[in-house]
Amino acid sequence: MTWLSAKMKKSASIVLAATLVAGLAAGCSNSNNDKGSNASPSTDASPSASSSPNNGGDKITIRFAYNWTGADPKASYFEGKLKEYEAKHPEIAFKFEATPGEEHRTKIKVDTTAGNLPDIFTYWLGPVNLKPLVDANEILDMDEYLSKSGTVKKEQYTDIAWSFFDIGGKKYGLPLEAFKGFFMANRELFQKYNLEYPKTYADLINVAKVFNDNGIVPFSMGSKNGQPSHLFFSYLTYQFQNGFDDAQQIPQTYQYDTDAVRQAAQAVTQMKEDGIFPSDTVANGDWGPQLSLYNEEKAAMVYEFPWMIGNVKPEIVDKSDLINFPALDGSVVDPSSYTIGAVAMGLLINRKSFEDPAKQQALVDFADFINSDEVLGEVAKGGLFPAKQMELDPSTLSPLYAKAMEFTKTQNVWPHHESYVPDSNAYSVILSSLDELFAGFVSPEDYVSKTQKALDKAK
Amino acid sequence: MQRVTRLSRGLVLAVFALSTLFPFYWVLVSSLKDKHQIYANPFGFPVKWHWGNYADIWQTAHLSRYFWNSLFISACAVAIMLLIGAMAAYVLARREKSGWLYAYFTLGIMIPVHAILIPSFVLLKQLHLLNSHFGLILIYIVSNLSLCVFVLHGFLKGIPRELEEAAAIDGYGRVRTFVSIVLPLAKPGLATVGTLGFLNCWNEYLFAYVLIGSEPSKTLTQGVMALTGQYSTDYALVCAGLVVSMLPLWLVYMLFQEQIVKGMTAGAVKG
Amino acid sequence: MRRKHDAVFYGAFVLPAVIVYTLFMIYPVAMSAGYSLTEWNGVTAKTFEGLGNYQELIADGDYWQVVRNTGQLIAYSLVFQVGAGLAIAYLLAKVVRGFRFYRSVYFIPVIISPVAIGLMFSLFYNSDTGPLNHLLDSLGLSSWKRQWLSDPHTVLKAVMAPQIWQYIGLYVVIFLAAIQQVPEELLESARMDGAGPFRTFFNVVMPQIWDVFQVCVILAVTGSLKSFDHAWVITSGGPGNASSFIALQMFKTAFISNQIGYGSAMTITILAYAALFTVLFKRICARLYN
Repeated sequence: MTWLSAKMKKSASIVLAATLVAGLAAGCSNSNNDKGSNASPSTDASPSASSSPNNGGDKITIRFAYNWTGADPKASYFEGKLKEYEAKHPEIAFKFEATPGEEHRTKIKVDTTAGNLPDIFTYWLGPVNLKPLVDANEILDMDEYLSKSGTVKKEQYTDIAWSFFDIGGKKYGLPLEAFKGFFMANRELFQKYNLEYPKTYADLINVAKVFNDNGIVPFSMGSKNGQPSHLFFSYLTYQFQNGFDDAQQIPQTYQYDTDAVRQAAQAVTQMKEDGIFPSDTVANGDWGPQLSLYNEEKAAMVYEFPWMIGNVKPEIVDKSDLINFPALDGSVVDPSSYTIGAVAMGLLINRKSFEDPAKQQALVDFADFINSDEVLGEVAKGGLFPAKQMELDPSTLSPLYAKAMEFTKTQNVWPHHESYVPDSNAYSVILSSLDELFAGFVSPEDYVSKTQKALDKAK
Repeated sequence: MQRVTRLSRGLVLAVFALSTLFPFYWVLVSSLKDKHQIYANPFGFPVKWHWGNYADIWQTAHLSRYFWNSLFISACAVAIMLLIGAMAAYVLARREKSGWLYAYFTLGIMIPVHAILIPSFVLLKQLHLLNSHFGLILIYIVSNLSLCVFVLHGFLKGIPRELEEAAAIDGYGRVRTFVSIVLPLAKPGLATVGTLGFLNCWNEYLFAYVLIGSEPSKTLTQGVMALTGQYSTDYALVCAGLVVSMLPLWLVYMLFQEQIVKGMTAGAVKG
Repeated sequence: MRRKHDAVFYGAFVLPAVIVYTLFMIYPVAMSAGYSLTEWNGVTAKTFEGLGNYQELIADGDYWQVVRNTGQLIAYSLVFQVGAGLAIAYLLAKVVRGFRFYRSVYFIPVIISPVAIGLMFSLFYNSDTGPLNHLLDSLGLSSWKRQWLSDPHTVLKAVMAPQIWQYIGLYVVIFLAAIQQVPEELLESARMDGAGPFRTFFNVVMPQIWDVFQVCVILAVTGSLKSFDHAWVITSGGPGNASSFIALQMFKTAFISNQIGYGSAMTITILAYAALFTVLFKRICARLYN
């Protein structure tokens, strides 16, 4: 805690504007954080909806489906706010459908297939997730919502944030949750073995050797169904020539097989050989096991994301420094200049529900409420990086959250490949092939040819 | 020589018993840890005993409500399944020319539930049975009905017809014969498929989360799985939830053990 | 008169089950069969493909890999679930002390949720923190250590082991009941003839429990064809498809890759394999028996 207050004073109460999306803009630095913060709360969530029905005593029903529930650190803050809203609006019968984690995706898919889509729901970004819904004309163009909304404005989000929900020039989701990756190192472990944080790949090899000799995994990274490795792999790819540019072209070119991806795949194989990763990348894959190696001080470095902040042990947070990943051999982009980030989830509205005059106002009010500074600020206590440009009260946030915000403030934020690959089958091939690459089942060449084949098929 | 074989037999049985006790031990011990301990020290005793986990899941995670939902759903599904399954199996066992119908019913044993997820969801929507316990009960009935008919058919074949004929002479109607003569004799068979069916309903997750969205109607498995998140899972709480969900099953097994064991074999007697 | 009355009675008795089962099981399966002839992402309109999906399946190396995996699972299940279950039951049948204890304890894994078993084993296998490699070290078997889930030679077996082991108890209980019903006189006369335990088993016990044995084989095979949970929890079927089985692959295809038509075609092949197996198996058994 002392650490936090010291840091706070030093940076003169860092304006914790949700920097992610701001940082994205123009692919440059942090300068535009402050200007967008026209803190426009008015979150007393206009109870104007109450004026609508009441004739015949028929309540309107609003179904809202989401997955910030259960073990998600955001759950208690978010669901608390939902309950408040429900209590304030007795004229609406709310049906909250909370499904944990990835099961939410299956639920929404089945709902969609059966024509049972909720009125409003949270969902993942990118053409992979959105295109089928758009093709079927199921979800609302957000411009229509924005034109009715009293408090939510297009300018509160950067163009890049919107771009994740852009299908054919229209915006189909309201950016809700953003994220940025950051590397952490356990300061005490490095001190104990007299090591410096690695700057180059040669440094990394030396560090890895010492740690391995002492039974410590140098860098915790696993791959189970591509988690969390797909984010790390994008990060590696962007170190190489045209890595990020190529990724942005994928929607047009369907070309995943590029020099940068090849180099990144080779780097993974090399790092595996050099003992940088845990020996079993499947067993240590997925978010829980990956972090637990670091939490238990069995790994010296880790790559983490905001949704894991609530799970890092407090005493480990105190021992951690945020670091830059070393530059790989052959890299041309300074690894400290960028980070992987995007919008993780957005809010989608069912088009038919919106066009129902009885429901429209209630839906607009509810969406306004979810995107209000009040709700987002509250959920930020549970580790939410709001995609909206807004000010957060630093005193309510966890120390690691503040640290991560500060560290990544000046970095360009580059979205990972999932944001660009336009076909869900192709992306699932990428995810499962990453497992093979990290486990050493396939050579870098095979990885590239396999994944490219899936993209060719999708063309 | 005799001693050696007896000793080695005891050893094999004991080793296997240890291996089957182990997961129970693991779930129990894990349920008393905190979430970091599960990874730090996955198989030892807890450093600190977190009895509070149980209070947490029972109240905060609403498992108490889910528990009764699950009990209601599973009990209804099993009861209806046993009734209509036994009726059908009885007909199949007593009518000679019903081989094709028997084959038709047993087809269902091979169908993975994932295969019928989308079509049955569409169907239940048309029947306005989404988000209702009744819809879930229907699904649970059919997904266990095949095994039920399969086992009971064999079982009822083994019950001598003479009893029924005697009942007919005593002036019993066919329905009354079925209820007061056949069903009691079939108890072990019913106990067996009832237990297996209860087990399946109680642990089912896929249909539960797709069909039941609203908070008050959720099942116990949903409650336990809600403790897992996309990125983070509190396995200590999950294990506490599992203990709560396992106990009734074990109780059922212990209670009906003798019947089940009898039923398991009798059911297999081929017709 | 009696006959007509019978027909009404039989009809009324069988009807509820037939209706419910047809409506909620057979009809959905027929729908799936229909989907399998289309290309469909679940949202936009279906396009009719005829047997296109099946042709694609035949040429799909990933599909055949999971079929081979499933075949292995069936083989191991037969040996280690049915086989070991039978052996343990035979041993246990002769035990007097602790009989009830063993019978209760062996059933415990059966009632534990597969998700918990899967999770426990994934911690168990972890080569960096898990106890399995430690155990091998302390037994002086360090050369046996593996990266269980990241090693192409072990991952499939590592995923199969827990699901096979979990249900051994079910087969023990079933076989135990069968063996107990073998008439004592038969065993007695075998003993008089001087038959050892093995000969008694194959010549006396086995023919008596032959029906039960068949049922168990069918349960083990259909169970393997439906196998999903353990692989899903431990490896998600990976790396690649190394530890995936047909039912799991079907779920991934339909719900993650949004290829519902293609996934449905896989479902239909599962049914075809099961039906084929059942028919063949009945034939073989009939021949063996007579």
